[in-house]
Order: sequence, then structure tokens, then C-alpha cells
Amino acid sequence: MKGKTLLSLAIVLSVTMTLLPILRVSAVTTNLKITPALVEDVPVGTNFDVNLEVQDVTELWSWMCVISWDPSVLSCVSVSKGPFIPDPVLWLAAPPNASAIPSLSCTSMTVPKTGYNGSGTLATIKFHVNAVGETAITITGDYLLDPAKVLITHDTINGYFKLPPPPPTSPKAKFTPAHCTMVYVCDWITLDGRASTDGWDTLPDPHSCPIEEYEWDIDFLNGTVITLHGDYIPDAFHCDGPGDVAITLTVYAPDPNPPSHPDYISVDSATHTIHQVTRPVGVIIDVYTEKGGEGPGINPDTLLQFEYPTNWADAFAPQEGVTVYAKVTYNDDPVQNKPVAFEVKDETGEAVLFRTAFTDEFGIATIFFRLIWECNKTFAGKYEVWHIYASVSVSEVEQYDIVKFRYGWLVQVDEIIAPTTAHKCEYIDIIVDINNICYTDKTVTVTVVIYDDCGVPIGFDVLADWTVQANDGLTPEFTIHIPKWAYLGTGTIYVNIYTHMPQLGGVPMCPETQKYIILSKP
Amino acid sequence: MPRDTKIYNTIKTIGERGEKPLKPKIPPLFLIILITITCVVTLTPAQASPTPALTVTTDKPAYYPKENVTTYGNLTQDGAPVPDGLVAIEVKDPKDQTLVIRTTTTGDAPPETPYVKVRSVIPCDSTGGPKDSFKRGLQAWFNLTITNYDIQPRNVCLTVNIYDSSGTPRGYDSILVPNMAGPSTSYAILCVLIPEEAALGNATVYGNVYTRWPSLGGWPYCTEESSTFLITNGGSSSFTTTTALKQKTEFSTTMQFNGNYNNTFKLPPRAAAGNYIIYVTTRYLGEEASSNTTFKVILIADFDGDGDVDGWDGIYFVDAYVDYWTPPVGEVTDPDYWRCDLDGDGDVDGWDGIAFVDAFVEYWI
Repeated sequence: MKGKTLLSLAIVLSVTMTLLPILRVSAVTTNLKITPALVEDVPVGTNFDVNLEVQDVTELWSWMCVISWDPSVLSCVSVSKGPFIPDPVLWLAAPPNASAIPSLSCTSMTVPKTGYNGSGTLATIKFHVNAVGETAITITGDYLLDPAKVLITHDTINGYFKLPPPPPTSPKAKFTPAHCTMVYVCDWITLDGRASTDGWDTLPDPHSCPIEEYEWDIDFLNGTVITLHGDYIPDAFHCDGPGDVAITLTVYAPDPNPPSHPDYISVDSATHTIHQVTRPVGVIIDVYTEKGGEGPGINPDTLLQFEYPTNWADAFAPQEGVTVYAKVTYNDDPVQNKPVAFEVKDETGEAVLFRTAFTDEFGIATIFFRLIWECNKTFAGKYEVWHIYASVSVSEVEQYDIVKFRYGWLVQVDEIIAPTTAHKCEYIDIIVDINNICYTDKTVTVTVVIYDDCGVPIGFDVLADWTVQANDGLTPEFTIHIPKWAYLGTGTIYVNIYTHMPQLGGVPMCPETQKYIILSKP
Repeated sequence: MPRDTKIYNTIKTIGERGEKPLKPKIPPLFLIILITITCVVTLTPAQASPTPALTVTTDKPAYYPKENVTTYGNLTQDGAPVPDGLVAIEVKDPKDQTLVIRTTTTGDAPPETPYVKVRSVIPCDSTGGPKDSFKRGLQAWFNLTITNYDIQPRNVCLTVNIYDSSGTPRGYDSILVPNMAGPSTSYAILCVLIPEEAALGNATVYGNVYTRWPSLGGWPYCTEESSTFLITNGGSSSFTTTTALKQKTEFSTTMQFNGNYNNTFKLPPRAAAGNYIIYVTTRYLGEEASSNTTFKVILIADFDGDGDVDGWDGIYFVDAYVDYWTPPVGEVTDPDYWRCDLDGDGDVDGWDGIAFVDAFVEYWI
């Protein structure tokens, strides 16, 4: 019995001594983790990145792991190697399936074998958000090896994704053709309402309210209205003559599981007006920019220029570069190697440039110019309207087209509204009227700072990364305290708009606006 | 109407002839319609949710500076307590300046995702970098991150309200943005001047988002977020070595579980005398409710009630003192003179005189 015990002990000791070199134990804990540890509120349908990182590692030569998640919430878009182990490496990433990257590894191929120390990114994984919900982003089957293929002990820290269900949300009707689209007479119009979003009710339990009915009202504005049904209707209708057509989509998403939250409205509708014009035949030239403006700038039926924003380019800022394209076709076929004349006119009708460019194999001639910004240039109004002309001759038939755009500070301060007098030790309300001249939303950072009579900044507020909606603007109201130590007299309110905070590289989007106030005793 | 009149006339004519009045022949169809309409009007349930009822009151009608003010009330719907409501509380002083802007719950936080949520409120430097201590008399900044979960733009009123270690509200800042695009996440840096008289030590900032000011009918979107920071006296205080960031506190709001709520704050030593208004608002299941109440702040030793402590109050005190010590000693001719018994020991003596001088000095510092 005693002999057996000794034998057992000897075996255990021997096995232990054999295994000991395989496990490397360091004083500092090495972590293999997903960063950021928590990803929140990334909207459904968008992507986000997480990193697989190693922290405080010594002599890392090779690593491998499996990354998994809940497929109902996330799906993997791509995975790419991180920089921690530099090239050359053997990078092996099995194609992601619905719920995991089944094999992910990287081994240094440096000769002689080299291990790397410290912390860094091993891989970057791009996820797509499928639906609201929560899921861990889990690391399993993980190994860290040094050049001697000895395991490096480490802790594993998983990541977590969380997207809470939305509040009660009515369905939203969205469709193409977009508002102010120009189409040719007798072209078939396809109605596509599949971009509409379902409703969401929170009572008695959060649940989706799918759209059950799509109703289209096509109003030809001549007394004729037709009604169609369906989320996608190819070749739904066409017009026999030029004119505007109002298309209204109404979506119905009744709550399948009542009672409904009082904020839930099961119906939504949207109306787009499209312009139908007679299709020109033969030579057509269409001038546009990288910010849009496709389609004729002149209505061929009325010979009037289209009103904003139909076939206009989006706004340009001072000194911004403008790439101009002119597409030349003959009976819809691109015309190559044709000289196209370009002329750009400013607000006053003065020409600012003339150019000629030849069309390429796609029938497109291209020029570039940067908007003029003289030393003392200012804008009389919110913006100027500039015109770009392009003309061409094919078979002695001359054609031209226009694209117009707004030129000005894309987002600007219209007005500062503040009381004429502010008292020390009290609060002052400052309303800033911000205008966006573009037909797309812009994200800006707004700052308001007050100086006292001696030029001392006495208070400020910042709105960072706020969206200024197109054609609408933003009118924030700031409340700022006037401190006791402010110098009495004439104070100044300065309002600035930046692309981001300056410390993050943000730059001004418009000139500073100021307003004087009287600072008086409490 | 003409038809009824005709029937009435018929009855009258027959009666005048001395014959037994005939029963009016009301057509059955008319009766059916009448009954149907009556039933529809009286029996059809209301489509909207029942309007919630919100109450507010204070534990006392009047307070002296430095006293705790406790606000409490309840939220009910159809007479039943609402255990997961949000209540905005705004207190305005007699100069119409906001003193308190907070949000509390009547139990649990609402279970559903709010339209707009305060993600965090973090004390920071002027550029948004985290910072955990600020000197008295200087400005403190707070980074308020909010998310609009709605697909529609939402009006948002962002507020921060700071409390010092004694539980006294010491300032606020706000930005009102009429159209916050949704869904989106943005942040704001708000600035609050820390008053010289703020207590040193751990302070708390409360971040909230409302549709607009509660005093103007705005209601809270979500539960409030808070963080702690340190108020230092400007020297190399030991406070600055302590990290107190992001410690969640429930400084002065006690959550209830029966539809009740309460909130306590301490009046500043130099709180303006006069009437304060407390506005409370809520929105529950799509229905809004609001209420308000007032309380009075009385300055210690402001005997004439004119909002200050001056020579006239001194004269009043002397009158009371002389009256008290005029035989028979210990009695006063005007019961109001007992207000001069500032230490509450049943007499008007030198100690009350000292208390008066203290109040006088404190007022005029």
C-alpha cells in the first residue's frame, strides 16, 4: 500500500514537472479582450467595428480563437488583421457563418521566430446590426503562444452589444420616386415603398407592427386620381403629357397585439411631387456636379428653369472644389470625343470661367474648378445662386443645359436673439437661429461664449455633433450665468459653428457672429 | 323639433275640448334612434388613456434659509397609484430664477425605452475631457450625452443642476434645442459657476432632458443621470487627489414604490426671501399632467418681512427686548414679539441679540 502511494505521488509529480514548462505565467495579467467592451445604440441596419485586443502580453508569437454572437442580433461583415503582430504573418480567418467566426488565427513568420510584447490590436471585426436586442461577443477556443509554442496564460474578456427596443414608433412611409424627381413623358414610373418602416408598439409587451397595406394615390392634378395597392409596383403608371403628378403613399400598420400605447399611430403617409417633361430626342446634354443636379435644368415644355431643388446641385461652400460633368447622348447612346463648352456664372450673371473638355467613352466631359473667394468677399444674403452652363454640337445641332447651385456658408448663424441687458448673478437666455442652405442634413458643433467689458470670457455652452436639418435649421436656446466677477459695461456674445470641436480637428463652417449686450448690476 | 311641437299642439287641442288627452304617438324609429344615441354617448368608453393626476406639496408652508425643503406628492391614474412614472420638479425663486431642476420617479423607472435619453453626465474641462474637481468661484463644465431614439425630431431641453456636499443646489445650466434629429446621439458641454459659498467636498451633478422647461409645461423624457465631483477651495487640497467620478448617487430624491415621490433640497444660506414656486409635471401613457405649489422663504431676523435684515429689524428687536424686560418681566404686550426669541429658549435676551447680529452680518456679507 505504501509502495503504491509512493508510486502514485511519483507519477503525479512527474506529470506536473512535464506540464509546467507548457504554461507560462507572468506577473502581469495578460488579457485577451473585445474592445469596446460595450457597444450600445448602433441603429439597426448599420455597421460597427470591435477590436480583438491583447493587453500586457509578453513574447506573443501566435494566437487563435473563435468569436461568436447571437445571429438574431448581429452578423459579421468582415474581419481584418490588426497591427500588433507585424507582417510577415500567416493570417487565417475562416469565413464567418451566421453566429461565429469559427477559426481565427495569426502567426508571425519572421525569421528567426520573434515574440511581441505589450498591448495592441490583433484583429478588427465589422458587425452588422440585424435587429434590436442584446448579445455577448464571446471569445472561445483562445490560445496565445510564444515562439517556443508555450501557452501564455491570460484572462478573456468578452464584449457586449446592446440595442434597446425603440419607444412607440409609428410606421413611416418612405418611397421612390423621390420628391421633385423629373421624369420623361411616357416613361413608366415604378413605385417602391419598401423603404417604409414598420411600426413598433410597447404595450402590452414591445412588439413590431408590420405594415399590412400600402395604398398609393396618384393624382395627375387634372382631376384624375388613381389608387393602387402594394409595396412595390413596377411600371405602375405613365403620363401622356407633361405636368406635375402628386404621389401619396399611405401605409397602414395596425397593432396586432392590442392594447396600443397612446403614442402609437398606425397610419402614416408621404407625398412626393414629380415633374414630367417631354423627352427630347436626338442630342441631349446633361450637366451636373458631384453633389447632384442630374437632369435638365430647363423644363423643355415650359422653357423655364426648374425651381429649387429640382435638378439643382447641392450647395457649395467658399473655396470648395466643384467637379462638373456633362453627359452627351444621341438617342440615349453616349457620344464620345465631343468637345463640350463650359461656362460658370456667378450671382450677378458675370462669367467666372470658360472651359472646353472632350467627352469620354461614357459620353461624359469633366472639368474642375474651385470657387472664388476674394480677399474681401462676403455674402449679401444667406447664399448666392450660381449657374453652370454646358453646350455641345452634334451633327450641327446645338444643345445646352444648366445646373444651378447655392453658394454660401453651408450652415450659418442667421440671428442671435438675446436681451439687451443682462444682470450679474443672473441667467441670460440666448437664442441662436441656425440655417442650413443645403438640401441634405449637416452635423455641426455650435458654441456660444460671452465676453464682459474687459474681454474676459465669462461663460459658454457647447452643442457638439448636432444635426441641422435640411431646409429647416436649428434654433437652440442657451442659458448662461453671468458671474458676479464679470466686468460691467458692454458684453459680447460670440457664436461659432464648427464641423467638430476644434480640438478634434473641427474647422469653422461660417464666420463668427456676435451681438452686444449691456452687463449691469444685479 | 317641429315634429315634437306638432304633437304637443295636438295634445293641447284635444285637452281643451275636454276629452281625455291621447298619448302622443311617438314613432318607434325615433325612439330607437334616441335610445341608440343615448347609449352611444353614455356607454362608449373613452379612447384616450385616463388622465393621470399629479399632486405636489411641501412639508411646511414656510422655511428659513439653510432649512431642508421636502417636496412630495403622488401620481395616480384612475385613482390607482402609478408605480413607474417620471416626475419633473422645477423650483423657481422669487426672482423667477430656477433653483432646482430635477427628475424623480414614483417607484421604478418606466420599462419602455424613452424617446430621448440622457446617456451620461460627466464633469469635464472646457473641452469635454473628464475632470473630477473644480475650484470654488470658478466655472465647472459638464458633458451631457443624449440619444434621440425616435425616428422623428424631438424638442429637448438639456439641464444640469449641481448640489454641493450639504445638499444645497448651487446652480444650473441649460440648452433648449427645438429639433433634435432622430435617431441620433449628440452631446453638449454645459457650464455652471461654482459659487464661493458652496460647501467643499463631494458635490453632485444631475443631468436631465425635458421637452421644455417644466414651468412651461415640459415633461421628462427619462430618468436622470448623476455624477459626483469635488469642490475645492483652490489650494492644493487633499480633495483633489480623490477620484469621485461617476459614482451614482441618489442625493436627495427618494424613490417610492406606491406612486409617491419626494425630493429634498437645502435652501442656500442667502436664499432670496419671498414666494417660491414648485412646478411638477409628468407624462404617463401619452397623457400629461402637471401641478404646482408655493412655499415661502423667510429670512431669520427679517421681522418686518421686507426681505432684508436691516436697521428697521433692529428697532423691532429693541422694542421686543424692552417690552420683555419691562415689568412684569417675561411678558410681552404684542405676541408677535416672540418672533424675536431667535434661539427659542422662551425669552428675548442677549443671546437673541447675538443671533440677530449674526443674521445681520450674514445678510450683509
